[in-house]
Amino acid sequence: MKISVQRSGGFANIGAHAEVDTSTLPKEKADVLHRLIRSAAFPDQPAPPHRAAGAADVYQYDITVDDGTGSKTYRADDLSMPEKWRAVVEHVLGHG
Amino acid sequence: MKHEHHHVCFIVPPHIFKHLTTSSNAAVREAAHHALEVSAAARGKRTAIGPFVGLLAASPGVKQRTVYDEKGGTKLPGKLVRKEGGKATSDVSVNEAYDYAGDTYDFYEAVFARNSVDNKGMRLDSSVHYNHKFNNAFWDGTQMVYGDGDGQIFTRFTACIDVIGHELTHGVTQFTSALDYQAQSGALNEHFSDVMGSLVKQWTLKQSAAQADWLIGKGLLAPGVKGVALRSMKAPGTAYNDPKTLGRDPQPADMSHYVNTNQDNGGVHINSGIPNKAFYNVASAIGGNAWEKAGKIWYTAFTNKLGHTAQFADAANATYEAAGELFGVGKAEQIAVGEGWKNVGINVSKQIISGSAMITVKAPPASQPPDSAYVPPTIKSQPRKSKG
Repeated sequence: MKISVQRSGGFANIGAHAEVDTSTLPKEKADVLHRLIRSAAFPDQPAPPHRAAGAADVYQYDITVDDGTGSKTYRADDLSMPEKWRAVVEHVLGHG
Repeated sequence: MKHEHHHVCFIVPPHIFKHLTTSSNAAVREAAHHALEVSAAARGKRTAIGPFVGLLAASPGVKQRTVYDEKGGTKLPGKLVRKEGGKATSDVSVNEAYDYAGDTYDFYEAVFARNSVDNKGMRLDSSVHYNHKFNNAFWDGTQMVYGDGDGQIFTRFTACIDVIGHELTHGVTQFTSALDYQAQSGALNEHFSDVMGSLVKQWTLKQSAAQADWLIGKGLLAPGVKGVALRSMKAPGTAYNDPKTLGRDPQPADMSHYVNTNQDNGGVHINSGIPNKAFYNVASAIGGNAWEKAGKIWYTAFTNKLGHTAQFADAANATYEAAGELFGVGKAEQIAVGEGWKNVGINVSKQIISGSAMITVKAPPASQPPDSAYVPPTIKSQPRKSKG
């Protein structure tokens, strides 16, 4: 499974990107990431865009999950992102 | 228009970020990781505060400020450390957030007779020391939030009055045009914040258009970073160029270099360079103090004439029309507006110029910010791409 996180925006518009391929990780580390992905429970079907109302200059995140059958990208911002998605984002950007 | 190259869409391109996260400098590495550790506590606060926004309104015509200290945390707003009339503290960030929010309030009141962001005296709340080494400042829909910067690339975000004017102006936009934070309307939202942020600075320094530096975030870059600021309204794309840290300022200065991207909400901090340059052109052509004429034209257009889906061409038409209403049809000010936009590749419509069309004045939205109730996050599918 490949997971990539792309951060963009913010007042200073500082980008960040990291990608992890769990097949290249030691089993222990791959298991941790697989657990986080399961816990995040990314939905199967697309949903309407979501941004925090009125907010500006917060970071935008694109989380792309590729389980081998195709990739899906989930978008959220700092104020709207579910906590369990954030765990994935922080894990990938912090350790990718 | 042209499509972006991959390196265009970030101040720090992905490969640079990877460089930072693997840097041998522990401080740089930690900050690069930490920049994204923004707590969801802010969301909890939004949910909690949403229904009570009305309580934040102060008496009409009275400046009300509060400053909170996050002490490195992320649960907003943090500990109350200074309120209106309170003495200066020993914390420079607290005092800057307080003083510059006050200057911004005074600017809006003196120049545009506007009473705070909602024009009803809404209290100006700021939280400083948000997170650790946080390289960002934002408006969360109810308040301003400032990071300290990592000290390697950025210094504290409260240090620049134009940054504070920028963030508060997002509040003004929220209560007026409510420009959608996406693509051209989002770039106009960013643009209006840059314009007013720069004008607050010029007004406090009593600088004419010719004397102003037209930079956004001058002093924000840490020593050693090759750049003068984050953005230049006078010369978009020239604010910094440092391959080791930020990369190159990606802002275009005209429509032929418009950047199509799905990052940064469709390049809202990138393509704002185009209207920014137009405003600089107009203010410079009119001369004198930019807030007196160009600023009034922009304020009138952006708070009264634009709907939430406005595009660059709509802003050109609205400012052209506002210039005619404020300073006379066919006068130098209106001509300057038309020429200023034309210079960046945007033409005022012939119907507007001939006076055969009028901009529809949009009714302002309700005085409260839009409902902040939770909405499911966005998902977009995309075909498989080979990874480079």
